[in-house]
Amino acid sequence: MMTQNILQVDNLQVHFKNHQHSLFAKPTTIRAVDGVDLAITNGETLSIVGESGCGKSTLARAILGLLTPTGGSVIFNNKELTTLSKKQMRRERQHLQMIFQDPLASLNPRLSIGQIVAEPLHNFSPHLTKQAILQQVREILISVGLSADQLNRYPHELSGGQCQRVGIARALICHPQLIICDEPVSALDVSIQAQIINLLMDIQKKNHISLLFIAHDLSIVKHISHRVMVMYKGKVVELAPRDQLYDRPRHPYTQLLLASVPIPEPVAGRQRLNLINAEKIPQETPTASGCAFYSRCPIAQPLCAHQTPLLKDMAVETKVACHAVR
Amino acid sequence: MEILQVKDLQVTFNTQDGSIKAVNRLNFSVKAGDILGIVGESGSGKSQAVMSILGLLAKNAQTQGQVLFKDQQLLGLSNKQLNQIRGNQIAMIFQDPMTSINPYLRISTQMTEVLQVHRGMQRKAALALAIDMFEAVHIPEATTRIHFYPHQFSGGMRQRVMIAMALLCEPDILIADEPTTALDVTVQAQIMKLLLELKQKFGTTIILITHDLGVVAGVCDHVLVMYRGEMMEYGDVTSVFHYTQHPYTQGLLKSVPRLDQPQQALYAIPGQPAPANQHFAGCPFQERCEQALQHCQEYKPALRSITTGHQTACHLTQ
Repeated sequence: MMTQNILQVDNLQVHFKNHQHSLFAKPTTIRAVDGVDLAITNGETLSIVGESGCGKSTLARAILGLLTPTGGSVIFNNKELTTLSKKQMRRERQHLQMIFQDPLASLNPRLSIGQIVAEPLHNFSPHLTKQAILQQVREILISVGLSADQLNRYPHELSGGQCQRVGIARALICHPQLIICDEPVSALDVSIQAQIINLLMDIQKKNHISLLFIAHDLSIVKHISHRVMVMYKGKVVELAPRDQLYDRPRHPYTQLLLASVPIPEPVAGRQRLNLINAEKIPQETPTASGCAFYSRCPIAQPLCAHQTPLLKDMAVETKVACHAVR
Repeated sequence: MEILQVKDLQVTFNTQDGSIKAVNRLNFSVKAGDILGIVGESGSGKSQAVMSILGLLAKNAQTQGQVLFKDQQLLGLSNKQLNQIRGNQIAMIFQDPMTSINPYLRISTQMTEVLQVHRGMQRKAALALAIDMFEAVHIPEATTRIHFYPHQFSGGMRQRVMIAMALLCEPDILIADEPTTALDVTVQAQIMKLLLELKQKFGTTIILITHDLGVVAGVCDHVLVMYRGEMMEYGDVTSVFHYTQHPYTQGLLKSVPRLDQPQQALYAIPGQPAPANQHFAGCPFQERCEQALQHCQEYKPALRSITTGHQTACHLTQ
């Protein structure tokens, strides 16, 4: 069966020039995203995990056109996005929404909740009457668990969880096909986190939306995803269906990540902590060739220092980039 | 031996919206060499409770009650008297290391300053001790890195620098306010291991404020659960996690997605904490509690012991 890819990213690269301390030194290139391929099918949740600085947010921004990629292609709905003009890209964005990490900072403090949620409609459906817009805004607010009388409130009057609900309502109002969620719950309290995750999962089931979910919390990712992609220093190191990845992590970095997640259970939690080795402190010197994880890798081989491992198929839908994993 | 005793602590802020009780009738004590975890949602008063210990509250705050450190009352001490204790006997580390280190000064300057002020040491001797401390928190190449500026360290390394700095005077108590929240999981695990090591090596008493129940389970001996400024449950970590009494603690534990358990629908505590300036007659959690009874609205549950050392404030456990 052929499933339709809603989004396909091929060899995407985002490089930044980093100016050195000295005026005359040559700027070095930082490869924030270094040749990433990914595909998301209709109604699927693909999660991207990795430590801070691994390029996961940069990747999301490049897909949305908020950053100009250095190379590669982003195909959304059979349309190449990287070559679109600003105006054309703007039209595409109604199908391609984003939810941000900081719930309060991503809402305009001078607009009321009703105005914030209605704004995409003003942009993309200018033919709608005021009444119709209001009706839609009311419905969407109720569907994300807010009440319609919060229309005239301002962001600062709401709590973090409620602000994130407004952000979700704003993303949903144009009936997008794909929503990119960049750490949507990491700024929220545990009890509120669970509410927002359940809401996102409900919405996805109901509206058949695809989600690209970016997070550093592996337990949340396990809960919400169908497939998981692990990134390290701008490269994909492992891509696998959720159960595969959590039951049998193959890349040493994935194993390290999973082992580091604290478990809210005193006995097992302590045992896990004991098992973690005092980690080798990563050397700051970047190796031009060779595996980026080399300096931290417990199973590194001599080959790993010189040759970058390619992403290879390991099992059905499972890809790993490591010389030592067979 | 109890090194710190907090009795009937109340912290009230006078604001334009009326008075806000951030901490209400808080009672707890910490044994020497113990790691106590304080958990709660944002706004639960966990940070304000420990800030009051060191007199670090905002100017519009009023405190009542007693904070006894080695039987000495700390509330009401002058800044000058507190400065003898701050950093010397009770040290504190914060969530964001970058905002609590001076970006203009080399780490070596900032670390030796602590020793010169509190211990009256010569710079050279102080530097040697600072380097030792860098090694104790496993910062590689300590002799060169001690002269770095803060921005030259990564987030995890900066947190290690903070811990090293806090430990310089060999404090009796180390208060860590969300020390791992801004860090990656792998780095968090390293810092957790480091805290356990400090307890073993130096016998430091640690008060760890966090919202992450996984961190508490991993390192703490005792745990205190707070909600809207009040203590909901307190006890030995195994006791609280295995024989959870309070509906709020139960809810928190159920709402954490787990790696070690099969997938199931995530439980979410309904609603959200009421605004801080709203006062209740009954239990602070009754609004969101699914097991609330009629009299939960009417009067506050008293704190009672379930087993030795395990206390909870809930009408249901009577």
